[in-house]
Amino acid sequence: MKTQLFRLVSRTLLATFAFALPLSAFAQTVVTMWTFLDPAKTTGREVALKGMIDSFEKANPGVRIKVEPQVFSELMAKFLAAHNTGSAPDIIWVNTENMGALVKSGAAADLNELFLRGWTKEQDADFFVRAGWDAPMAGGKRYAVPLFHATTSLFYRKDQFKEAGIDPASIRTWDQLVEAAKKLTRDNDKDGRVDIWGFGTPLSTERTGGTTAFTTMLVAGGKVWDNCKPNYSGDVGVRAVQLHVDMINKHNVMPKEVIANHVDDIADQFIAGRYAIATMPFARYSQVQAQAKWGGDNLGVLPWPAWTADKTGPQQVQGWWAAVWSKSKNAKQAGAFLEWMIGQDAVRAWTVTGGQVPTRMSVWKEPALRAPKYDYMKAVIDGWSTNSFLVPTECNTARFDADWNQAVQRVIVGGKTPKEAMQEAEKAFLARQ
Amino acid sequence: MHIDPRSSWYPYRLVLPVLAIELVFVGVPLVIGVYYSLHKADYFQLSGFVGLANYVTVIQSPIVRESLAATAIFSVFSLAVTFGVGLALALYLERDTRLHVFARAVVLVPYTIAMLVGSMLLKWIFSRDAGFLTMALGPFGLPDASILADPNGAMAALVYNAVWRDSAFAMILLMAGLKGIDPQMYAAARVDGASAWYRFRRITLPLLRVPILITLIRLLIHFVNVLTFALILTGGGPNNATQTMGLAMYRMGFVDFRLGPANALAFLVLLFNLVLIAILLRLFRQRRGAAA
Repeated sequence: MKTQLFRLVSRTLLATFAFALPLSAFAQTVVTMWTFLDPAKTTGREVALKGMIDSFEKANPGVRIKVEPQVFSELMAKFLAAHNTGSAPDIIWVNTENMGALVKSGAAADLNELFLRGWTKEQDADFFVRAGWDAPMAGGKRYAVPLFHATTSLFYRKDQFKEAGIDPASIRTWDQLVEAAKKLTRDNDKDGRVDIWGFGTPLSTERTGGTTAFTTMLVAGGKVWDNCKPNYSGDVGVRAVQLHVDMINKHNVMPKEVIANHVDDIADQFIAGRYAIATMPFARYSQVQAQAKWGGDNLGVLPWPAWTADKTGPQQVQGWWAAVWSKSKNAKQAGAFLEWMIGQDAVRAWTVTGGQVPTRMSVWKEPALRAPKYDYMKAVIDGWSTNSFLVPTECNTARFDADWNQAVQRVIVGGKTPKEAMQEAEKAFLARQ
Repeated sequence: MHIDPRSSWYPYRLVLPVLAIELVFVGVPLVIGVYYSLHKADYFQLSGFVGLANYVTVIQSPIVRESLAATAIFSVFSLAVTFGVGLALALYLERDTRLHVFARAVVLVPYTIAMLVGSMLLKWIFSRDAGFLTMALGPFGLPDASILADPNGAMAALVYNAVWRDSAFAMILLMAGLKGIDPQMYAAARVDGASAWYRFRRITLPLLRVPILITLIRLLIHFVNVLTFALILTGGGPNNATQTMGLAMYRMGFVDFRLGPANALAFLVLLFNLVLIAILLRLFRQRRGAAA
């Protein structure tokens, strides 16, 4: 009886071991990633991401990348809540607006420790949008790396400019832009209603996403924030608010309804032909080109005007970065995948397949990207290379542009002076710090 | 475990499961919320006890004061019109003819559409340059106004959104009450020569007291706390004219990541809800006392 029992136990153990051995050989480290992209879908960026995951998993058979797509506006709030409860993903994507929150929260790991310490100076310098590369740095630590940059651009219709006899190169200052917008504002059927407005920018306080023209106006005029203290109500801030108000009330080149419009409204109406010039995220270039009934070939990008004609206005740096969770148990593998996503092959994929402006100069200089179809990226790269700007990531910059839009609303429908309105915006910013 | 229905413990045993659920899903989050409201809790991280400082911040905030005014205006107008329309629909569509049943189904359509989708549809309708309303009314020479860019217009649009969606809900609740009234009472009143208005005043209204109270309280709580209408239709603007307390709370907590003041505001909104309900109940008791 004892022998039988011994045999049964020993065979069971052997069998268990025999099954467990091959299983353990195939055991994988699963790295979870929260992003707003879904690799199962078919847009350019999603296809590019899918390709990166496949190639990384092929090169690292012991690691599987598990993507859990999220709504982008909820990404950071959910991540911080998950960080607090100890259940956050290994990799998180973060946009410009929430970079301050990520850095201040302590929820991101130092990437110098994970992989960047071994990089050469040349590798580092290859990321030519320095404001974007340096943004996630605090106290000598780097908390994120840029996947692709974005910016806000001034889109214009070439056909309307031609009809109005305006040379795009002649628009160097905001006053010149207003003069051009006056010529472009038209009532074609003479029914007393404007059919095409000269200029459009979203001035709602919802879904602003850094799309206002305010940023360039303020930044061109001096230091906007000093150690997280805003300087909005100085001469430049007052002038910026007044210009927006005048474009609606005095010059009649922008409809009053823009104070109720967010970025999607302006984009939709620009595509529909309601505006001749409009501020918009640059990432929408291909969408506008494909959908515009007035012909995608008529779409152009203006350099940002400044207060004086001596140089162009600053090109804002926005975009998406990726970080590793500070408490990740798979930090090493997560770091390896982050490095993979910003490698030369990946940057090429983000550009060629995903339609993004490359983050590496070495990729931008590749002969394949000299094709005319990539010409539209040049205006943005030139802007970033000469005069780029990124909001201070050490501050809580959530809704900073909503405060400015609110200031315009305060003046137009609230009866405040621009100075009073900007002082309120300063208080709102300070309350968030 | 069996408890004798005659036992004094029996009612408590029946109520206990519901109480336990309430405790888990309402009580615990409430306590956590109050706890957060007494701490600095930026970016979802507790970093120190601050006492009532968050409450002081919230009470002194001009944005919160504006949102309180916006919530009051929105709630009062939405409640009055939604209840009025709901009652009228319930009275008119109470009969079970084919036409009335069909009309009920049509009236219910806005209520079955997701709040977010409904508000987005209305945004397009109210849009000045691309909106259906402007296109439809333009040929009649109506003023070329931008509804959503005007504080009063935006508030009216917000109230319209609430009435458009929630009148059907009020109708259902009130119609259920109407169906419970014995038709013989109306027949007897008719025999006595009572007019339609007299029957409504002396039979319908008194017997609808409880459904009316439930409808008013339910709608009031909904309007005071609703987020979607303002978030999608007006974005709280212009000039914060339509930024309700729900929207202010959402932005404070989930956009600005200031969980301390957001929870303080949430607790104050809860108290505000309770005060409103208490006032409503008191008004009904007074009326019942006067009627008796």
